[in-house]
Amino acid sequence: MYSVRSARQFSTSALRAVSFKTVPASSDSVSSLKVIVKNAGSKSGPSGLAHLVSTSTFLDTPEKSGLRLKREAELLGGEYSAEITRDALILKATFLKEGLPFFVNALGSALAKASFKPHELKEVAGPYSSYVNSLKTSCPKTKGIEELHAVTFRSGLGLPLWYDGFKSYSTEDIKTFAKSAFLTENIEIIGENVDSADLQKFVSESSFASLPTGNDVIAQPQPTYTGSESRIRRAGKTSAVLGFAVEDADAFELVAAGLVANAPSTISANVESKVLSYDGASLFYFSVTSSDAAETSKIIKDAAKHLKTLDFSKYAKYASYLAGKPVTSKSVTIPSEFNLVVIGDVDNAPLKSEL
Amino acid sequence: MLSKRLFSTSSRQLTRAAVSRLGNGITVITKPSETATPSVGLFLNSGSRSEDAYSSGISTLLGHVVSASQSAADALKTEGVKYYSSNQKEVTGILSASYPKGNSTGAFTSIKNTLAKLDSIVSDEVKLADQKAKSIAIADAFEDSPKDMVIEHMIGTAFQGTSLALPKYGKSESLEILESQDLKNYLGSNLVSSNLAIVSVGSEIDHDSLIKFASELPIATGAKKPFASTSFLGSDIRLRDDNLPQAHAAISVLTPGFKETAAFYTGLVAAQINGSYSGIASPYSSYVGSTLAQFLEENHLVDSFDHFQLAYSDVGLWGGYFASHNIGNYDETIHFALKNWNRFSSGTVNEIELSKAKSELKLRLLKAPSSSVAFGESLATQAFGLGYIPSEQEVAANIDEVTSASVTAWAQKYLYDQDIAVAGNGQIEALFDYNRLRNDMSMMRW
Repeated sequence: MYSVRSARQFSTSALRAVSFKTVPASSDSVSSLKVIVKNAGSKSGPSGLAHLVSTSTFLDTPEKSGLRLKREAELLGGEYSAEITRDALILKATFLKEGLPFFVNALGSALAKASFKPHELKEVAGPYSSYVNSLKTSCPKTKGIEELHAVTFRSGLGLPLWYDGFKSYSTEDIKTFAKSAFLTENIEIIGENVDSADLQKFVSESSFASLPTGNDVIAQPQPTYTGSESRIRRAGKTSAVLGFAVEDADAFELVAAGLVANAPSTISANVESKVLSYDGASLFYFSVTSSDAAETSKIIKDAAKHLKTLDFSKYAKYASYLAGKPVTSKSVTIPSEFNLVVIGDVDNAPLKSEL
Repeated sequence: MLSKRLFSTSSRQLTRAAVSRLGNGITVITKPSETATPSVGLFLNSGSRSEDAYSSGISTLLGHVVSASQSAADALKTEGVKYYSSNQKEVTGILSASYPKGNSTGAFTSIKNTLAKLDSIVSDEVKLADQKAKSIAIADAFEDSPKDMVIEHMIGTAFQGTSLALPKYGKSESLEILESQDLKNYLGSNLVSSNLAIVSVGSEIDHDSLIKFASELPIATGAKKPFASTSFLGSDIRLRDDNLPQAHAAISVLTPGFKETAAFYTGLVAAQINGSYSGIASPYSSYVGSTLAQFLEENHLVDSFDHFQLAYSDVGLWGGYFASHNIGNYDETIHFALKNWNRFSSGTVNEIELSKAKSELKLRLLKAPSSSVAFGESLATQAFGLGYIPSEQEVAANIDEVTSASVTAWAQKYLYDQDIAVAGNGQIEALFDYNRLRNDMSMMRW
């Protein structure tokens, strides 16, 4: 077993599965690397475990302690971070471009060689994950969008994005998760301001080459649900989120733009509408958050009305701006059912049947 | 092993920013850049420092009125062009138009339309009242963020009695009394050719077409008013608030402004030596190399801190900000931080710390700003202040020039035994009085 793995360290065949991409530079002297580990996001595995895995990266490996990695990165002029999405674990490093080989190694080791020690989970990853979860979910809009995922997808994409302390995990759970997800087929490396031949060479010489291979995992379309309503009573601002799973994500970029353009521009309300695209599903939402529950109610009611009445095909330019990509004009079919989430003063927010 | 370079780093060089000045005085800047949402913006070389006690906040208000106007809403709906405004002490982004790729003509048309209607936009009393409420809400929210608040008040007490002390987003008392006529007067004296820069960030607008666009704009010819001179006064200002969970304080000394290149970059490197510490907000906090961070963390004396070199055209402030929930020992937090600053003057900062600070500073300064609007503002600030925009190579060379000896000389001149400006907020019963803090700026031994 071990001999097979160590033999692979010098073989480049495993790397054929890793996909590479380079994007143009936004600075002459600074490069960045982004490693996307597909199927290592919150949708895979029990709730919250993927977040703990992400906060456990860039700590000790048998060769280098987390402290040494941090100090060396500082000396070279570089910073790194790990974040979690529903689909993937994303490792990022931004550095002065001379540091490329060092940071390729650092990212590779973080995936292939992490020790995942019990004291790190207890003292670093655990407390930090809880801090992130409480910080994020204290925002009523974010909490509302989390809840919308839960009612729309139930499992998989519906699992919470962050570790909420609901279950306790050991380092063995983290190791098992890492072993099953950190496979070469799952890895995509995106380099900015790097030479792609250099990047491939350094990757083949790094710990990325010692990652095990598995089978290509093709995202299965997830079952989705509409017609649900979730109301969470909580002090603070009141947020209402209306949404549903969509097939044609581009068409709903038009809807998002149309709804935002027609929402009143007030000082106190925060209005947002987006299409979140995942492997195998997309989720459209419109959210409004205000300290005044009456204002939240009015804007969400108007949005529900606009959803049925507006001609969204004329918002292509605005949609291109909001989405940050070209969106072409087309006609949109709006589904008759949707999900509604209300966080905050639920007594004074409309029921789903009233929209 | 780390310094040996085994690969090519000389990939295609990006074009540096092009700057030209039109006959009437308008500065035109284009910076080719890869960005999903390019921008083109109008920046004035007058910010809160150009205001007075009765008009404090007028540049912020003007930006809000423009970006909330009907003309702005039309630009967004029909062209996908979004207006932003921004404010600094010496620069105001009055109208930064961010547009989807491929629609630079839409951005040009929108800006032209808005400028043509500017007079009627600022005359709309109903919209103005709305935006006054919004500007007041922003100024108040700024006061509620302890870090921003103490740093702003530190600047205020340092330069008290001069216009540089005015808060960048204004004050609710002065915002309340502003009227349309004030905005018109402000535009009349500030939206003039020599006070204006038009900045494009993105790859769609070339320099010649931006020059052509700039020359067609209805901008009055006029000269820029110089900033009123300012003076530093060692002083402190405190707002004790036992409802806040932490103690917050910012302390700084007077330094030259960003026109004095050598001193400015030495100050930046010195600030980076102690760097910043984010406590619970980063999983890697306990690993950071800053000696001050290690000491304060080990002794539970700090939740987060930051060091800065603020710089304006003629003066600057170098210092730090410290937040701690260990309020009973906050005197020690500040004492040991100031004792740590003494190291700079005694030349006991080691070479490793210095090269770490230089590398980190290069990364921080050379990284492209996160949004094209912020990028435009930083380009405009440099062009106004320096008259040119330094290339990445020049910035890196300036940082490389800094040595241990120059840090020591800088610190002995500007830091050691100098008067300080102090601002505190939160549970600051253990923040010592001015004289005891001032005593920590020098040593009983050398």
